[in-house]
Amino acid sequence: MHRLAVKLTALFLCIAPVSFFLLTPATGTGTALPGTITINAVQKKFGPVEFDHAKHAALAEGCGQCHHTHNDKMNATCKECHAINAAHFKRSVKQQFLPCSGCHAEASVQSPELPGLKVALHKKCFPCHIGMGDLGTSPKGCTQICHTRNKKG
Amino acid sequence: MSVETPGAPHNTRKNNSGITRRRLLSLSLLAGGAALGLPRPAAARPEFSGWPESFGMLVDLTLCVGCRSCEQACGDANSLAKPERPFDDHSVFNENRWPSAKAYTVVNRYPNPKNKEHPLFRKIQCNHCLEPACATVCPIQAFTKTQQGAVVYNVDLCFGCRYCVMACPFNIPGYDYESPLDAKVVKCTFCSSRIANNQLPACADACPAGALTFGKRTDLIKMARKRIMDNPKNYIDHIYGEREVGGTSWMYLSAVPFDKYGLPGNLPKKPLIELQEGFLSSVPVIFTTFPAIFGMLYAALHKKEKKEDPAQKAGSESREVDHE
Repeated sequence: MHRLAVKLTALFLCIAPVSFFLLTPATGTGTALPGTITINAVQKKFGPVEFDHAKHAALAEGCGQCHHTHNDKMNATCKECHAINAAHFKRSVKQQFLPCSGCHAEASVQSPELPGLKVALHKKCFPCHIGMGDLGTSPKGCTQICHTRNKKG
Repeated sequence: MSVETPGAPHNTRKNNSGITRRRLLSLSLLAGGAALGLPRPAAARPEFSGWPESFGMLVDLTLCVGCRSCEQACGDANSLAKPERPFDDHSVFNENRWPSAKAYTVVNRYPNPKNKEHPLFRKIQCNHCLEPACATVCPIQAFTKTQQGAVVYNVDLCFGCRYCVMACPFNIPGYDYESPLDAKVVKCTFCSSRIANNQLPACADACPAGALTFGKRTDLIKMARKRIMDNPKNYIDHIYGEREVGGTSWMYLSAVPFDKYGLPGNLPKKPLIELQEGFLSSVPVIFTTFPAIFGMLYAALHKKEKKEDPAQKAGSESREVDHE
């Protein structure tokens, strides 16, 4: 009896992580929706941005409002994201949510239609945030909601 | 004076600093040779639609938020002194600023006719024409339209005539009066040294809003057309700079007419050189043939006067008498 209990416990311990993984909704990182994300990929003039993903996810009409994924209402054709090069295509079919930096790195002269990471991020913020505080009327708007200016900036 | 060979719009040499007395002499000889030659009719000038593969910038004015990041990046890239008012000071928008020796580019604010709460912003800089009027009028080829797309200026050649300042349809070249002994024309360089190093121009690198897109000019035109097609309500159906003054390397998209941004709306679609070509090409002919014609006329009249001179008259009369 005692040995059976040990066997069952061992079995449970083996299965539990697998089942947990299978039941969790598949996202980019394989975990639940992120709460707050520190965006620190682009830091020249400004410090990192604490992005409250949960708050924005609640406000947004759907994930597709910010992320491009399949089956959303984006006007983009497949080719615009997937035919850039083989490496991008490979990454893009592996994950359901691509990290922005998966495709958007430094802006390149060869593909001007693909904005760099900084522009890609800001383009998602501005349509809603313009008009909040001084954003769109004064350069000070940058530091009102999102950014803190670096000393050297 | 520097009559350019039609069809080869501008000198493409990147480095003009190697100018010597010999080159200067050969230039003036060329100009003299052109003066002796026949004028070429404007129609004979082959069409030039820009260097193939040249770069450009697409400015989507609907996206600019007036953050002035481009101004700051331009100042850093060109080692310009920090302005008196910091870059996050929006009081600069109260006045209509213009590029100068202290700032090669400035962002201005304009009232939005569609939405008063969201003003319009435009970054002002050299538009790098495909056939630049500044290079056309420069008597000493201090301006060069490079094959990469930039219109660059060589301070070592400039002797300060300021024809370029007057010729520019966008009023861009400014004159640096700060140092009288080293006075020079100043304007945006399209970061030609950065482009040569496969880098983006500093302003395009800094813009967070995606208002500035750097790329091959032909790609940018396709991109601009697609943007207009995808969002016909967001844009007016016009790429400013695609054809204005024969085309410019910097092009603009907007939701409102371009004159609302202070961009001249009445520019001809042909390069400005074509407006002057007929007149300029007739100048050498007038300078060579008119003196000859009038000189001969004068000589003929003078000869007649000499004939009518009393002493000669008396002589002729006596000859007549002799004859009788």
